[in-house]
Amino acid sequence: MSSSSASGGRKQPTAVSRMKQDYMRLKRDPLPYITAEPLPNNILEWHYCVKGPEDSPYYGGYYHGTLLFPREFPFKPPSIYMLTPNGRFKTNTRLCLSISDFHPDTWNPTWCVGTILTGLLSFMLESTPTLGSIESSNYDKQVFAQKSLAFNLRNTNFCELFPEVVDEIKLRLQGTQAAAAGGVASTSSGAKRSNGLANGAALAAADGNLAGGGLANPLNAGDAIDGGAAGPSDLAGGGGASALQNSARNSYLNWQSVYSNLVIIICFAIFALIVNYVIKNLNQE
Amino acid sequence: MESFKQTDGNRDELIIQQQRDIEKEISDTTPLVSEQLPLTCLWAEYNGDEIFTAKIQDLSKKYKFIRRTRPDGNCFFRAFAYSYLEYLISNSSAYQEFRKLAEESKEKLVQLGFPSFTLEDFHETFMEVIKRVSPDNPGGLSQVQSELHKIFNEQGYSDYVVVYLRLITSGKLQEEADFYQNFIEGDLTIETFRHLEVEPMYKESDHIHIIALCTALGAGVRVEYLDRGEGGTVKAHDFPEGTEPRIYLIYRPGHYDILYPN
Repeated sequence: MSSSSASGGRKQPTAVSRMKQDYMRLKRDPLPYITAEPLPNNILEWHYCVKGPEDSPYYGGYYHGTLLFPREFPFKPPSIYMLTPNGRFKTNTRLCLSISDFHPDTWNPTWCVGTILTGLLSFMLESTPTLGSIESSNYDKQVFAQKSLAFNLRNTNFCELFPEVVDEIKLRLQGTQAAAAGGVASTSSGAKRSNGLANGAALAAADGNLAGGGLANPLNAGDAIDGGAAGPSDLAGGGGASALQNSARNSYLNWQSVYSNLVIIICFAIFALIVNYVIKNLNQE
Repeated sequence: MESFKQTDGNRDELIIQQQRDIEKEISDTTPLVSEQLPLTCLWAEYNGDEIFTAKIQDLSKKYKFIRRTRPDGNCFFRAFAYSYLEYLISNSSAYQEFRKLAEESKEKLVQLGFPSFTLEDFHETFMEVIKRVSPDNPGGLSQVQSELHKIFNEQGYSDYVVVYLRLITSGKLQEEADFYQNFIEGDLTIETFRHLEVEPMYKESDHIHIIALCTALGAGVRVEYLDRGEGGTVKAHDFPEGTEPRIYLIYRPGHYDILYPN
């Protein structure tokens, strides 16, 4: 191998040399909403930070995760993990996307770090289910988004790799603390009451997002969605519909329980009457 | 419900793990491209099966040697590249022509919409390989041949070449989508077919891949089909039809190796 590099002038292409190129490219053309850095001592482990885009239920959140590249990169895909609780993906679980190592058969060697992360973000903005995904309401996502600020500051890798994001988060935390000092009690109880309303508004926003196809990204939307050839667009539609149904079900839930309680009480009364009647008859005999 | 999902996930991981073990076993025992072997070494694989023995006998009248490639789904592309470069290093004018074509291919692919950053990476390595096997090497033909063999057994270079040929194939399919659409079974569009069956590594090649690649590079290929079919002779097919073959391959269901005519 050493003789080959001597005669070729360049070393055999490896995952490391490719990662270096990817790194330089990301520095040159940064991605919208996303920053990514490799670990200083291991260029095959990358950390990323996604900022929740406006018009999405993730707005205001910062999402930290990792990409683990195999030695065979770019011929084999990386594993993708999310570390910050977010309401869309399980944390510390390998995610199953067409761009991750669950699908070596749909992986395309021309994809790079930028493509992977853009694909991840656009998939996050959809509600298509996949292995490693979870369902949650937009309200939950907003709660996660608020909690993500403090959560990420507790991660040493995050603080080391993204000092600029850390400053930004600290500034925002100071801002919210000042505001919270004023009327935390009144807003928190108010927020609970207007929960249904906020939910509806956020849903509408998310809906617009889905229709718009999320972000402009180099990945074909069909490529980004998991499921390979098997009709990914149906899945997307189904996912959106089920999310809507879910929220509708939530608001009817109270009425349903009232009805079922009523039915149980009536049944119990009828039963009592029957028992009463039987006992009376027995007594007469 | 939760626990069911959990075991489902574990099963996926186990399948992936097993697949990796199989791949590792293959890569540990089989080189990417072997040395030249006498064609009759195929007999050992068929344990005196009559049909195959007769067909191999027939084939050995036309071909003396075989060079095996690793059965990893990339065998056609690897065999094609190796065999074609081997022809080119002993044919200076064809080499220069091919080098020019390869040089210009990047621009063409960028115009067809391939991402230029990653494309550049693969193209650069592809060109480097071509330059390293130039017939003008002062060391003479045998040195270039051993250089070629070494390069193709270095996973990095070898796979970069495969990827670039896959991209050229994919580009050709896109360029003449109307024509190639006729060869695709089912409802797949050319676009989906390229992304699912051509561009990803380890995806096996079909006739449509061969035709597109041969046409794009202007290289004739003859494929000898060794299977259980009727008759004691091996059927050959030339791609594109009517051209003089420069590359000779043997196809056994699921796999391509390189052949050397007498």
